Amino acid sequence: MNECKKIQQFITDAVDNRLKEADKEFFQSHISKCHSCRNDYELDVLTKDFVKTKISRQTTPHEIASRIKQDIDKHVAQEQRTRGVFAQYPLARAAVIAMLVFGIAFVLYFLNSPDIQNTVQAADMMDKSIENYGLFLAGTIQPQQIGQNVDELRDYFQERVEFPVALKPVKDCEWVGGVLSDYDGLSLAHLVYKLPGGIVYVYQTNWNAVLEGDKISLSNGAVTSLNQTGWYVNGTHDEYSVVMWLYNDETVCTAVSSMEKDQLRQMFAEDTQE
Amino acid sequence: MDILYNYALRLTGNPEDANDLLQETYLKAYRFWDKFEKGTNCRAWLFRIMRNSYINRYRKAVKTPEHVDYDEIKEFYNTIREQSTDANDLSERLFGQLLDDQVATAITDIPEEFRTVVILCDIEGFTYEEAAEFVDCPIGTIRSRLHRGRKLLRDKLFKYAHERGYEVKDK
Repeated sequence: MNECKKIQQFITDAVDNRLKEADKEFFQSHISKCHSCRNDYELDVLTKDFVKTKISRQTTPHEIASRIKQDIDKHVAQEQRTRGVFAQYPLARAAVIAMLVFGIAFVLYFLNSPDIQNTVQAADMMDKSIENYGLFLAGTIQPQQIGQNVDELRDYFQERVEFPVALKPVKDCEWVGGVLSDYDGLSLAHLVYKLPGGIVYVYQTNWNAVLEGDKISLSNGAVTSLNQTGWYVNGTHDEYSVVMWLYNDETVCTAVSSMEKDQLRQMFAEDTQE
Repeated sequence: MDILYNYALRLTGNPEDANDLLQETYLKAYRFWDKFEKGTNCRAWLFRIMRNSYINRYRKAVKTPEHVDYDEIKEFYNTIREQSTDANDLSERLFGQLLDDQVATAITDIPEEFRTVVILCDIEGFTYEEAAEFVDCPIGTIRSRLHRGRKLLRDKLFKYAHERGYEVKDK
């Protein structure tokens, strides 16, 4: 009986010719004497072969292919008309990225200066957010899932992270993308909203893990503000705004964008701590 | 484009919806193209966009898998297997003369998670590793979904064949 149970786990691999050499003999010798397992195996083979002969692969109809091409061409033309300064002038984009890199280097320089060096151990969430924002702009980080609205990303995050991910719909959003990553065992959720004027990047992780501070940390000022008001707005950067807030007491979110900080905060206002 | 078109056809079960889904997928992909990193699997990326669009579009119409009586088929197979060892003959007795369209309908009838894996592995001929990248799940999940998917599909095909009166009366 136990042997049959083991064979059952091998059936799918056997049907698809994936059995390891070592298991092949065991499998063959079992099904030569056990009709029940042999029948299970043969039924799967018959089903697979039958479906394969009945379903023929089709070529995409020519008119569909050309209609899609036309649609895309139309979009390209439309976008070229409405594109902002940023995309029209690659130099401007490069300049912003250069400023970001310079900004990060500047922050790192101060973090590494002798008097505070020893107090910094884990990656600072604010710095990471700004760095990631730059990587999204440069296309180095790419979303795994995209959708027309945040609802289309719900399943993607729900199935994979233990903390609730704040999925706030944003007005005039062209598309929204999501990707998950792992930082030394800590799950990080990244969202990117594409708006007509640029992108808004949101970085989210477990609030308790940040409080523990051994992987991702946060400055005392930010922690105090978040605990007291549920919000923290950083106004020290000129070229972009950083806004942090708590979601459902479990998740800490950081949004980075080139828009005004008040406007950015307003965008996520309803996600505040309840 | 053909793999996406065929997947759309099997997912939706009809050319009109398949066309819409294909179009939606390409438009989304186009809008996102500048965020796609070269060197990653473009086909898998497009496939995930399509699957995600499909699931979102038909979310409300999710079918719960009905009760499946595997024993009935096993018993029937046991009987015919004693009379024959020829695979073609056995296949015909099991599934009769089902038409291609009916087989396509049977595929559309099984729940999406199993359907997708059956389409990828048994129709498109992808390996478990490739399917795992497409669906973004572990290989073990591909294996178990394929196992259950084939059973569900067999049950549908068997029922269809018998409804059409192709059952061979051997008992």
